[in-house]
Amino acid sequence: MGEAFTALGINLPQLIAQVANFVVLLVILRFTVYKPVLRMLDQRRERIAEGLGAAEKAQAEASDAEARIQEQLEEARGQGQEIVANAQQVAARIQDDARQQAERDREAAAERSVQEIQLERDRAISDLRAEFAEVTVTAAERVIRQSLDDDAHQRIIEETLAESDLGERS
Amino acid sequence: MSRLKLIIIVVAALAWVVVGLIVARGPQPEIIVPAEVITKAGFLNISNTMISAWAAMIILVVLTFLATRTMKLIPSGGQNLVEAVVDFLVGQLENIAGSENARRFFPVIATFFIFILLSNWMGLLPFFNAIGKTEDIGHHIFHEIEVHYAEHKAFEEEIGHAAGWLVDDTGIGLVRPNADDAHFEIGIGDEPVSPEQVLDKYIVFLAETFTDFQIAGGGGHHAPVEVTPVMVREAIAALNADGEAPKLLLLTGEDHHGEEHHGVPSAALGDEMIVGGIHFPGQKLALIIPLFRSVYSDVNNTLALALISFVMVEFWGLRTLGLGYLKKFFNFSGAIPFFVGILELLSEFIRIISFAFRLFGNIFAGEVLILMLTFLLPFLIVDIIYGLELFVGFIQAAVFALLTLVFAVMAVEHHDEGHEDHAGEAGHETESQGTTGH
Repeated sequence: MGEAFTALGINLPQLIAQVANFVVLLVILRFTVYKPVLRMLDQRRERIAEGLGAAEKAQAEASDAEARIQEQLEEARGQGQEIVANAQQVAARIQDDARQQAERDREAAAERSVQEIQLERDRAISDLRAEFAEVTVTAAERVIRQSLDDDAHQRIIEETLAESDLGERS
Repeated sequence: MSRLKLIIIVVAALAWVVVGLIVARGPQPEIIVPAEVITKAGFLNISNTMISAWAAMIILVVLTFLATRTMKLIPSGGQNLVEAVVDFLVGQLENIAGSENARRFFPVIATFFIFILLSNWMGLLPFFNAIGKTEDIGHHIFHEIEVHYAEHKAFEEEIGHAAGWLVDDTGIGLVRPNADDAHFEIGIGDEPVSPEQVLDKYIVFLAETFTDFQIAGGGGHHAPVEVTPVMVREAIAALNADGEAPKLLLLTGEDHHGEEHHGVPSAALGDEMIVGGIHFPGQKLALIIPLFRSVYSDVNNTLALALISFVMVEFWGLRTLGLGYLKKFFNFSGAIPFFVGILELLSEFIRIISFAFRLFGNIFAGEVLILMLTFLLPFLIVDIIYGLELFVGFIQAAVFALLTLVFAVMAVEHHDEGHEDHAGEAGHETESQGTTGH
């Protein structure tokens, strides 16, 4: 066994030295490489995950906002249509009212004119009658040239009037 | 047309390999299993694999520090790379262990993977196993013999790696291409060899290497088992005849009393010749000890990782399941469960061995393959092997980290389905520990 160790050059101090070497290297690399690099890798992974999460969130929010805007647009469009419809309705009513008013005005005016005409005619008739009476009296005076008593006078007038009434009617 | 192209490519490749053989052929590499020791600090041998490990650590720490010094949420430059690696590893861990366990196991598993991967790939850099310090092995061998003699110790095993190659006489460790290599082995059989005998062999080896001296009947550079007095005398005569060859410094009987070193007598010639030292006036014998060597071509380092892996797995198991974890190994509910428990316990320890030698075997074999191919066919073929070794280095790092992870996941699993209430209790315990741990 000892001979084999000598032939292979195994000696305890060098063995221990190599173990120590490795341990020293392990400790140094732990501080210069493993810890900082692993921390950095983890940090980066976290950051990327965060970024992806944020992007996803932003996208969701954007699509959300878009949907909301769409909804609002839809609503506004509806409201607009309603307003237009209302306006059209109002316009129609106003038009209708105006037409009715005009009709009424026209009818009233016609009625009034009829009444006026009636009135005018009545007046004309009464004027005519008065004038006629006067004319008749004058005519009678002229015809008779006599003074008649008042009674006969009146009777003749009445008769004349009645005759003129008839004549007028015919 | 395409056939012509193919032929041209093959011919060019072959020509390139041949050029490599002529131009860049180096000395035969010494394959040495234990890591070469560069210097000593107290009782700690600072080997070249240790230096490479430190270099890898420094590179890792400095680069990651620069990359993560100013961490930004939007990453750039080095931070990107570090984050990509960490993210990849965490992802893999979470696939296998679940996110809760993954974070707990992550630092250790990731360090295994990153450190092993960087070390393996660094080991393929050109200056690994190439530049280093030269050791004056000629003097070193004599010194070994002297020390053995002074302590009255026989050579029972091969001394060091008493081999090298000849370098320039300027004394600077410059290895030229095509420098001769020399190989000195004591050739120990069943019996131990005394220092005196080794000295004789060394003298003969020097004469053979530096002069035209040839042993009658003996072929090659290897020293024969039996050295006769005549042989030694002739060898010394040959060394003395050549001015550039090494010279033995002989001590006479009276001289060595006051000396610090007592010298070594020759076995063949007896006390009549006592050698006090060797002088190399011209070329020297030198051995290159590479300054950097792939970290996990050293069993110490793989074994250290395997031990850490083992300790961490047991620690996680105990921490998660409490003492209930040990029920897996010590199950007294019957003979067969008991036996299975013992097997589990054994396999737990055998893992250390398999972890250590899987990594060591792969990396060391790759290194040897590259070294030997560089020696045999310096150009082109080695490039293919380099590509292969890049792959092997990655696979071994992944295997080590993944196996540790799998064993850790197995250790923290609740394995007793029969006791529902106990499992619930253990789960609750884990939760509370988890929250306090953070």
